[in-house]
Amino acid sequence: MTRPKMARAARRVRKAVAKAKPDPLDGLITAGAKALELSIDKTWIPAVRTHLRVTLAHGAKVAGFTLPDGTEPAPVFKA
Amino acid sequence: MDCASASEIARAVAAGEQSAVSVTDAALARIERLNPKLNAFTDVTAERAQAKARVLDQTRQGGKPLGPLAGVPFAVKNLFDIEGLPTRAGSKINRRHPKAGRDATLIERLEAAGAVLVGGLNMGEYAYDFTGENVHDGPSRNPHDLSRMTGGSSGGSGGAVAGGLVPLALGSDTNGSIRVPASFCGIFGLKPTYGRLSRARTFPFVASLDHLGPLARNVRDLTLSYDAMQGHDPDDPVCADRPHEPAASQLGRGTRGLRMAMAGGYFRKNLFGEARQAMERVATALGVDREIEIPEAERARSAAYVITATEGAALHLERLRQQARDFDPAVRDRLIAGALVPAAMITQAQQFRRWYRERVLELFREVDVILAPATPCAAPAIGQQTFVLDGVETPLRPNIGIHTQPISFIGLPVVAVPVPLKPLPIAVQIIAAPWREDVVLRVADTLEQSGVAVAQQPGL
Repeated sequence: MTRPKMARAARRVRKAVAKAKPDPLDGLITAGAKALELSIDKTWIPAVRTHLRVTLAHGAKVAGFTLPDGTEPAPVFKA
Repeated sequence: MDCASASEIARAVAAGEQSAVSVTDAALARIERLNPKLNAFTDVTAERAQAKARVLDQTRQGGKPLGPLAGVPFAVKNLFDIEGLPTRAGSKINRRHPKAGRDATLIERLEAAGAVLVGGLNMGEYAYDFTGENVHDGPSRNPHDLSRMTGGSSGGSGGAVAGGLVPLALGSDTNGSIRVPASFCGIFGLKPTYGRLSRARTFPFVASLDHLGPLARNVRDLTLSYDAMQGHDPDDPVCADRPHEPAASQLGRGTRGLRMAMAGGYFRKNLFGEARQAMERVATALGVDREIEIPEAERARSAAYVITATEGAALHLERLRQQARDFDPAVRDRLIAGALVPAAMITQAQQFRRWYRERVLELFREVDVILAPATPCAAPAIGQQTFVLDGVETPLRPNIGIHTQPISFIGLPVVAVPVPLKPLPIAVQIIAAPWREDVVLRVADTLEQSGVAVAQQPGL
C-alpha cells in the first residue's frame, strides 16, 4: 500500500473509531494497556478488540471444562 | 545435480564423482536464478558455503571419511542464529540486533555431518503466522503456483525445498509452521517430539510449544538430517537427555505390525474436498479403515491458541512498549490482545494440557499411528483474508492450523506427507506417540515407496 493510501485508510479507521459505540471490551483494553504501559493507537483498537474477543472465547471454552483441583499445570511441558 | 536429493549428493561427493565445491556453486547459481521468483532466501551465505565446500573436498582428497550429509546444501529459517548475521526472525526490529556470534546447535550438527549452509530463509514475522507472508521482506511464493501462499511461518523453507533451491531446510513449528508449508508446497516435513531436537541459539516464539525440524523432498533426506541433529544439548533446557535413536535403519520395513487409525470427529470437520481426498488416498494405501476420536481436540486447539497468544505477548512485551510501530500490524495487534488476557485463563489452558496429554497417550495403547489432515485446504492465494469452513466464512490467517494445533500442543512427533493432487498438493499428518519418530518416518517411507506421497517437481 502506498503512503497516501495508508494515510487515507488510517483516516477512515479513525473516523469509524470515533463513530463506533463503546464496546464492553474497551474498558479492559484501556485498563490493561495502562497497567502494562502499552501505548495503543486508536486506529489499532478495532483489530486488538477482535483478536481479544477471539482469544477470550478460546479461553472460555477451556474454562468450561471442569478439571480436578489437583490437576498440575504444564507450563514447562514434557512429552 | 539440479534437484538431486541430499542422499544422492552425499554419495556422489563421498565417492569423488562430484566435488563439494561444484555442488555448492550449482546450488548458489540456482538460488540466484530462482530466488527472485520465489523470495525464499533473505540471506545467501555464499562465501561461507564455498569455504566449507573447499574444506570438504580437501578432506576427501586427504583420504579422510566424510559425514553422511557431505556436500549437501541446506538453508535455515531466519530465526536460527547464523554466525555473522543478525537473527531477524522475520522482523524489522531484530535486524538491528548485533550479529550472532555462533551458529545454532542444529546448524553446527548438520555441518558436522558434512552439510553446507547456503543461507537464511524468509518467514512470517516472529513466527506468528500460517501464510508465509511478510510485510518487511515480501511473501514467500509457492513454487507450484507463484500467486499462492507457501504457508508459514516457515514459508521460505517450504519454497526453497519445493523449488529445488536446496534439498534440505530447517524450520520451526509452534502450532504447525513446518507442517503447513509442507502441505502447501507439497514436500515432507518432520516435527519431532517436543524436546527431541535442540533449540539452542534460535529466536523463540512460544517456549512451551516451540519445536524445530527438517523439510525435504523425500523421506530418506528427512531421516538422514533428523538422525544427524539428534542428541542432548545442555544449551537448551528443554532438550531431552535421551540416547541417540537413529531412524534411518527403520526405513524400508513397511508397516506390518503397526496399528493405525484415522482421527475422527474434530478432524473430519472443516475440510475442503482436496483434504478429504488426500486423507482417503493415504488411508486406502495403508489399509486403514478404523477411526478413533482424539478426545476434546477442539478444546485443545483453544488452549494452544490461548497459550500462544499470551506467551508470545510476554516475550514481546517490551518491544510492544518501545517499538510497536515497527511490527507487522497483523502480528502486533494479536500480540497486544494476548497481553490483555487474564492470567487465570493461561493457567487453565496449561492444566487442560496435562489432562489432554494423559487422555491422548491412552489412545496409543490401542494404536501406533494416527492419521489426520495437515491443512483444511491446498494453498490459498497470497493476500487472501478469509476462507469458508463448513459453510462459515472464517479469517484465514489464524485458522489454517486448526488440524495441526491439537497435535503439537502435546508435542507428538508428526511427519506431514505430501499427496500430489491437481492442481495443488496437500499433506496428511502421520502421528505417533512421543519419541516414536522412527514409526512416523517408517510409515511416510512406505507411502512414498507406494507413490501415494510424493514431492512433485514444480515447473519453474
